[in-house]
Amino acid sequence: MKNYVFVGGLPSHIVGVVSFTKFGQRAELREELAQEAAAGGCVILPESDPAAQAFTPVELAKYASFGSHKNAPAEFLEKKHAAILAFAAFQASLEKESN
Amino acid sequence: MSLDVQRYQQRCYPVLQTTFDTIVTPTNADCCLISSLTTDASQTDIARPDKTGTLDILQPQGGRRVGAWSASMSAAGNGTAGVAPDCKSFLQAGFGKAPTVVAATSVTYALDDLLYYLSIWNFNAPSGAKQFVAFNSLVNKLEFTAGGDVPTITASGESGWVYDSAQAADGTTDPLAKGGLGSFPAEPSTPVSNGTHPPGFKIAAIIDGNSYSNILTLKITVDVARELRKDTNSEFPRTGAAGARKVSLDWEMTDSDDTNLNALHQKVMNRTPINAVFTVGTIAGNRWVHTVNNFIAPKPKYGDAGIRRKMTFSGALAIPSAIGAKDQYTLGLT
Repeated sequence: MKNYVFVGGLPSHIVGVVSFTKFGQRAELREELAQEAAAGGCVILPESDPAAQAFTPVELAKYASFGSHKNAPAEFLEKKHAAILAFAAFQASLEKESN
Repeated sequence: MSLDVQRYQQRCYPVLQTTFDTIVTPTNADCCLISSLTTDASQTDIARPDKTGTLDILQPQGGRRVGAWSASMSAAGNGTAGVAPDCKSFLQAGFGKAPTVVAATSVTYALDDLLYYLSIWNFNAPSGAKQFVAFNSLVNKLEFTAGGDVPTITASGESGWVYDSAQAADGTTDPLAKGGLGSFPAEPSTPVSNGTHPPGFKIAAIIDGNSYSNILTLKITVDVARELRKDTNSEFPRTGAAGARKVSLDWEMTDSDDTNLNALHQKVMNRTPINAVFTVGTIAGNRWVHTVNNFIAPKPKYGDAGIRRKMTFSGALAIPSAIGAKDQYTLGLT
């Protein structure tokens, strides 16, 4: 089991396990399930990823709601952008592994 | 006691096949929520035409086997720009090309000629009921609608066959009906579902270079007459081929005295080809950008209902800028 952080822009559900309904939400997942979820478009990062660690607790509390990102400051949006790029790299690495 | 099959407890897993005749089993990552899904096998009866000397006919024999499928769903984007929506396999097979993905920015589907076969898994509760997979499935038609509360996608087409868990339990099932499956798999236990649809009435349109916020309804139809081969030596359809591609556009908008709208009306009347971009949704990662190029809008019908007069444009055909350019329509998720 490993901890993952949700950095997506709308809710994602791993049926029967967890519903990610907040930005920055953490969940402990089996690694294979996390990889499958990421492959399926669930925008999660391992908690240890620097892009996931970049957010301050204050930011995560303030921008937990997806709708709030519209008016978020550039600093937060840059971190979010970096997190999405990190997710794309994570997803691509999974694809490479499965090939 | 037997349990009734609950129509609502249904999930769809469309999976791209890598090989014709080889079903691909689904994973949690393949789930795509649907509002409606049908996967039906059919086989015609071939009646013997000869007279029997009585008024009775003879037992017919089984004809060709074929499958048909149709899936409708809300146009749910992932919510994160650059991540494909859950309906990605339907879109890729419908457009005939893998999307262009720009991380953290966009996923863009453009038309092409590639042929993809899908294994469309149709699971229903209870698990002991018949579960289906429509395999060797082609997408013949994609339809996008917006204007109401829920923007929708409807995909449909032909399948090589619809295999099910009951056939799997029957030792006499034709090997071609099995799509290479040794046993019928159970539904993945923890399917993944992402995002939601934007409000379908949030449509921003740019028609012939001018912005309009008075679009009432929108429908874009990608009709690719793909079909499976009906050979003379097989009762199951064989590999497919794509037919002529037709992209059509229908929309309704509120009429006004706007000068741009009057200019648009003039262009419509003199059959000037125009371009349009319809963006459904406003949230990053969930904007569906339909770019329809080079269409001659049909003469509008001016309705006589409601308080405001509306203009209805039906059946505008988008044509590529050059033969083979395939640039008459793209769908971008940004």
